[in-house]
Amino acid sequence: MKRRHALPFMLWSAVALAGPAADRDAVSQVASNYLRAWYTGDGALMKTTLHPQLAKRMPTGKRNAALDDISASALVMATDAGYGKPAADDAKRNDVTVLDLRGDVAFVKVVGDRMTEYLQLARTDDGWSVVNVLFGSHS
Amino acid sequence: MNRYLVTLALLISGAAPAAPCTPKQCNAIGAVVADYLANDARRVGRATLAGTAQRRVDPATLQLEEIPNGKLQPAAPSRTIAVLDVDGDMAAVAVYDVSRVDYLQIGMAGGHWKVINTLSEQFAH
Repeated sequence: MKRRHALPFMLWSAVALAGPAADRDAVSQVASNYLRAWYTGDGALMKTTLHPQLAKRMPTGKRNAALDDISASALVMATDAGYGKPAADDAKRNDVTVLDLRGDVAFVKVVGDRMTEYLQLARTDDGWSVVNVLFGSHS
Repeated sequence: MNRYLVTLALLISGAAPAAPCTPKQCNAIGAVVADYLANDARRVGRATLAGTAQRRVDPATLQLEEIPNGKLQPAAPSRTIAVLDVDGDMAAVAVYDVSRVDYLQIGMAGGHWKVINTLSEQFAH
């Protein structure tokens, strides 16, 4: 790294790595709402957490299958239909970890009872929302 | 793997008590990220899928934009690749350079690690 670039980069990294506390709180709240909406079958709450251009995908593993997209509207409908409502004896796990946050983008891991999801959130005119999701069963 | 100034930094996130990936996983993930960041359509194509979502936030307008496939602005040569987390067939990776961040969601497809979704932001100096 060129010397003249090193100091600004280090300062930028130090400030950006943690992200302002208010932003981290906001991002955590959106991610928590995303999981809570799914568990409680609250489509209206789910809609508040999603960007309209959501791309939610699952790895195909060893298969060469094409990616299946779950759009924002499909996820809201599935939430309303109660597909995420747990059985009575499920633990309702709801772990949210902000992996990283820089500027107007954030990377979050959420772990529910059955699934692990990586969320990418963006801050747009409408605030923080989930833009991209990669999800799968617990490893 | 890019042999210039790419640094593969295995950041141990606050939630992860151990390294996020095995050496074999880290090598495989690092290789696909290097392909994705290369200014080479063949390598980028190898690292992505037909439907890879590439988005960026414009910090001036706070609008989300789609990046046409293969039109990613090459990353600066001095960049840091951080594997934030790995869980089964999925990995969360961040690429930092002096004025930009790329977040990559990487997953297994067809038995290979592929970049499935990305979100980026370019910061003004």
